[in-house]
Amino acid sequence: MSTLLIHFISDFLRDQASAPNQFGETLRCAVMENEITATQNYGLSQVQINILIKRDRAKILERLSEEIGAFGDEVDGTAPNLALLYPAGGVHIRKCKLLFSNGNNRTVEIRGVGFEAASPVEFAPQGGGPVIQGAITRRSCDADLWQRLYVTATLPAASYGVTVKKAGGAQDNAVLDVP
Amino acid sequence: MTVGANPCWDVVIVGSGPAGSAAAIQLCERDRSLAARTLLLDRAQFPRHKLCGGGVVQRADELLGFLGVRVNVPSLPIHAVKFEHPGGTTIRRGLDLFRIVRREEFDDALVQAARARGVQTREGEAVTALRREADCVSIRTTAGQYRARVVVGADGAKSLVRRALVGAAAGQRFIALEVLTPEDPSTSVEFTEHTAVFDFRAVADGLRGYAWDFPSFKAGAALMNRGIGGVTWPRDRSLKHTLTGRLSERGVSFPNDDLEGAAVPLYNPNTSQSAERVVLAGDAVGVDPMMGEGISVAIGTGMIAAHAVVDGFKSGDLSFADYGRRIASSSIGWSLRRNWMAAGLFYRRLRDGDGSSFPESGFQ
Repeated sequence: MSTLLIHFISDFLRDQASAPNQFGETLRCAVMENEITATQNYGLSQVQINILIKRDRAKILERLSEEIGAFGDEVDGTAPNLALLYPAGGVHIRKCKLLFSNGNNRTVEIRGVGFEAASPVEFAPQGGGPVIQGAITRRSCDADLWQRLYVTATLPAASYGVTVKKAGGAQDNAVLDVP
Repeated sequence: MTVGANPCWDVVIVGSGPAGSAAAIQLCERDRSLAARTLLLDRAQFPRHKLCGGGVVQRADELLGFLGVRVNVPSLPIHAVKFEHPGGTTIRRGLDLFRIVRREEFDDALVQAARARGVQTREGEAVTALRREADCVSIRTTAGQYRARVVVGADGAKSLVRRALVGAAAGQRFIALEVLTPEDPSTSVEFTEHTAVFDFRAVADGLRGYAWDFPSFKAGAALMNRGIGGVTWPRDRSLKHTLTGRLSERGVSFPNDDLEGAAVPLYNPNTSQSAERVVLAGDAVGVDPMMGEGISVAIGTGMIAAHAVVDGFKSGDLSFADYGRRIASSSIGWSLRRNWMAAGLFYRRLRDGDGSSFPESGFQ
């Protein structure tokens, strides 16, 4: 799952500190308490964290420019796309978690945007092995317009790379640990 | 609604564009009983003309799908996007990247979808004044007077609801000029190859914006929607000057009277979007700060407004103090906030001739 530095900064800056419990307040408090832990928990990479904590304006701008220039939600530039330019219909996974287990039969909840009713969902064991196809049992849209996919798959205990695809080639990835 | 000479509606939605209609439909989806107590008002008679490129992105259709609405109007699917920029030209291909509609048809279909769910509509009735009272908002129109427990301000870029009850929008505006020119669909590559053109070349001269050529059909006639939009531009090169220069390059001339213009505010997360008994949606909230895209933002913020209203009725708290946060933390707000921050850097890179912003694959 990718996290852009710009997401972090926009979340950090949002709202006035004088308004308690507003969006961003929790993040700011966490950063004030321990910036390394808070930025790690947010999902920033070590490279992004190193750039941030050095407080080097030029380096921060350069990094932001790189991320935007790659035109993608992907920090590593693995799947450059036009989502920034024209919010046409990218896929973005925000969260992925194991919901239920019945033996190796798992139900996984994926939250994000750009999911299709028939989006292929794949689980790739990170230690190697064949890719396992998931079956979407339900797709819904919450009041905040983030979507949910409920996916069932037979997944032995392992760590998986989860990929949600969309017609036209858009896709996003996340990591799922199945204990 | 209380029956009487001056009835009190639960919700009056000012503006029947995509934001207002989406809000009305979402209200009915959340609580069917609200349909009969919701009034959708617009100063225009639908179908009405609307200045807009008409690009319906996948996100907009996705949101309409969740509303249970399929807007089946004539549209031209776009399978290729041509980017012209200071560093050269880049073409991206993909199936159904987005579709182009005529707004008069698209918006009318949405109003009909709201009406089919039982929402009452009034057309050709302009709101002239609004006043917040102790237990309602009073709304004066060209045809009468209404009261509402809650008002959804979906009345566009110059929102009277915003000005009267919320406060002026801060920040920048996206100014757009547009003209429709007749085309031969059998020879125009934009029609034969279903291609939309985004022209960023004028960024090198200081424009923070772009020009476009969008193929479209109106009543069966092929028309090219040619326009230019921007936030800032050099003093010696007005938008009109740049547009006419670009069109004469393409051998296109048009009568001055055919040129239309509009100004819409860009979304800014620090701008108020609500007040006691009032929430805003659509262009009144603001459009995408990078490209000026507004249809999906309108549908999305309309849906968010409806959820906020229903939650407000349930809790009895109609202050809508958290409404700005609701928008900002939604999936729409997530991309709006990102683009709000990224726009400056994006145009700086383009101005410096960096075409790497347009890789040839991976259009999403």
